[in-house]
Amino acid sequence: MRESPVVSLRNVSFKYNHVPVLEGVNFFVHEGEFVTVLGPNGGGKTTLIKIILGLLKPHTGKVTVFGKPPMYSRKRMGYVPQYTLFDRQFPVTVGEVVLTGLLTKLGGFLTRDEKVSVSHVLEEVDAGDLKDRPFADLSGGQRQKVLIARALVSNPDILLLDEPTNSVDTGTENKLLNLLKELNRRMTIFVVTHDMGLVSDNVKKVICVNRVVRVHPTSEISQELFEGLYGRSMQLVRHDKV
Amino acid sequence: MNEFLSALSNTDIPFLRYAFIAGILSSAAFGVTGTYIVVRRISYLAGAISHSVLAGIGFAVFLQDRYGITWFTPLTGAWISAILAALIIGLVNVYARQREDTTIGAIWAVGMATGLAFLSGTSSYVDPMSYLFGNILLITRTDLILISVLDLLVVFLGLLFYHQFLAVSFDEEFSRARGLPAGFYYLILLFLTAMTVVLMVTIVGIVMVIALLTLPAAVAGLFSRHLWQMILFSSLLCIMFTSVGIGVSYITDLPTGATIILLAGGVYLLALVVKLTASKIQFSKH
Repeated sequence: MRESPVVSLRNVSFKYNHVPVLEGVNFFVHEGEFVTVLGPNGGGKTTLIKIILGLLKPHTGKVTVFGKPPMYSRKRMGYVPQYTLFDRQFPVTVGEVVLTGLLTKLGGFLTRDEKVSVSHVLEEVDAGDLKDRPFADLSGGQRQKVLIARALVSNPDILLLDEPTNSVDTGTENKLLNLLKELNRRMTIFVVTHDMGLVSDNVKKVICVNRVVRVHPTSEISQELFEGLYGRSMQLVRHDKV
Repeated sequence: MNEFLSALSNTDIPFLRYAFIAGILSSAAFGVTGTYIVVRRISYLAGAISHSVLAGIGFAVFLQDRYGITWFTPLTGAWISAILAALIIGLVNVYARQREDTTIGAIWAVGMATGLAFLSGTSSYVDPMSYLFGNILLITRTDLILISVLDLLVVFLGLLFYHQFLAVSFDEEFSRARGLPAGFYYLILLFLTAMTVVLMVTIVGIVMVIALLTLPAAVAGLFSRHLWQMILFSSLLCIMFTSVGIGVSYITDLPTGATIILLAGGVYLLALVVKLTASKIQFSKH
C-alpha cells in the first residue's frame, strides 16, 4: 500500500464565466514525485495550480492536499508564480522579497531567526550574493531563483511552480532543472509548463492539460500524444545530457 | 522669507500657523499612505475617495446653515463620507470584482453631486471653490486636534502592517497562497487613504489632495531601494512641499493649495529628468 497522496483531485471542473476550462479532472500526486503538467497556453494549467493552492474553488469535484482541503495545507505548500507580472519599479531588495515567504497572518514583526533563514535559503539556490540587490535589477534566471527561495523559506513539503522557465535561456533552464531535481530529494515537485525541455528522464509523471487531463508515465511521451494535446504536429526536441 | 517667519509667530493671523502645523503633522501620514497607494497603483481609488468627500462637507455645511448644528463640522462630514466611499469601493473589489472602474467613477461623481446639491441648498450660498481647491482660512484649532489623532492612527496602522502591505503590494497572489488575508489589507489601505485624504483636504482642496498623496511618493520611489525608504523620503518631501508652498503663497499671494501642488509637480518633473539622465549616462558607460 502506498501512502495517501500529497495532492488528489477527483472529478474537478472549473469554469471562467461559463466557459469550461477544466473538465472532469482526476489525478493524484504522491510523496516524492516530480510531476510535470504540460499543455498549451490557455489550456488550464495555471487554473489547475491555483485550484491546488486553494486560490480558486472548483465548481465540481473534490481537492485535497495532504488529506485536507487546500486552505488548511497552505503552510506545507511552496508556490512559485509566473514572474512576468512584477512591477519593475517596486523598491524592494532580494532579501526582502524572500522574507515575504515567511509571513503568515496579520501584522507584527519578524524575528532574528527568520532573517537568518533568508540567507540560508538564498545560499541553497545559489543566490547568496544577491541578497541586497534590488529585485528589479535581476536577470530572468536570477529572479526565478529568488522566487524559488521565497517559496522554500517556509520549508514546504511540496513545491508548485508555474512556468519557471519562461523567458530564461537554455543554460539557465538546465541549472533550474538541476536545482529542482536536487530539491526533489526532500520534497514533492509539481511543475506547470508548456516547455518540453522540462520533461527530462528525472520527471516521473507527466500530466497533460488542455481542458481535459491525461496522465502518462514519461516513457509514453510521443509525437502522437502531443498532436492530440496541442491539436497539431509539433517538433519534439530532445534535451540529452552532454 | 523673514516676513513669512514673523507672520508665522504673529498671533493676529493664527490661520497661517495652523496651516503650517497641519502640513507638518499630516506629512507622516501622507508619506505612509502615499507610498502604499503608489506601489499598489490605486491612485484613481484615492481620487474617488477624495472627491466623494464633498458630499460630507456639503451635508455638514447644510446642517450648520439650516439647523444650526455646529458639532458636525465640515471636516467631520468629510471624514464620514471618505470612510463610506472607501468601504463601498473595498466591498465592490472584494466581492464583485467586475466593473470596478465604473463603480469608482460613480462614487467620484455622485459624491461631488451630492455635495454641490447640499451646498446650493444653504441660504447663504457657500462658495464650493473653498472646498474644491482648499482654503487655509478654514482651519480651526479643533481641526488640528482631529488631524493629530488621525495622523497618529494612520502612521501606527501603516507601520504595524508594513511587512504585510509590502507582501500584498508586491505579489498579491503569492500572499493569498500563503494564507494572508489580502482583502483585509486592501480594506485597511482604503481606510488609511480615506483618513489621510481628510487630513489635508482643507489646505489643498478635494481636487488637488490626490496629487499631494502621490507626487511625493512618486519622487521618492525614483530614488529608493527599500519600501521604508520610500515612506521616509516621501514624508520629508511632503513636509517640504507644504511648508515651502505655504510660505511662497503667503509672500506671493498665490492660492496656497495651488502653490503646494505646483511645487510638488515641478519637483516631480525635475526628478524624472534627473533620473532619466542618470540612467542614460549609466547606460552609455556600459
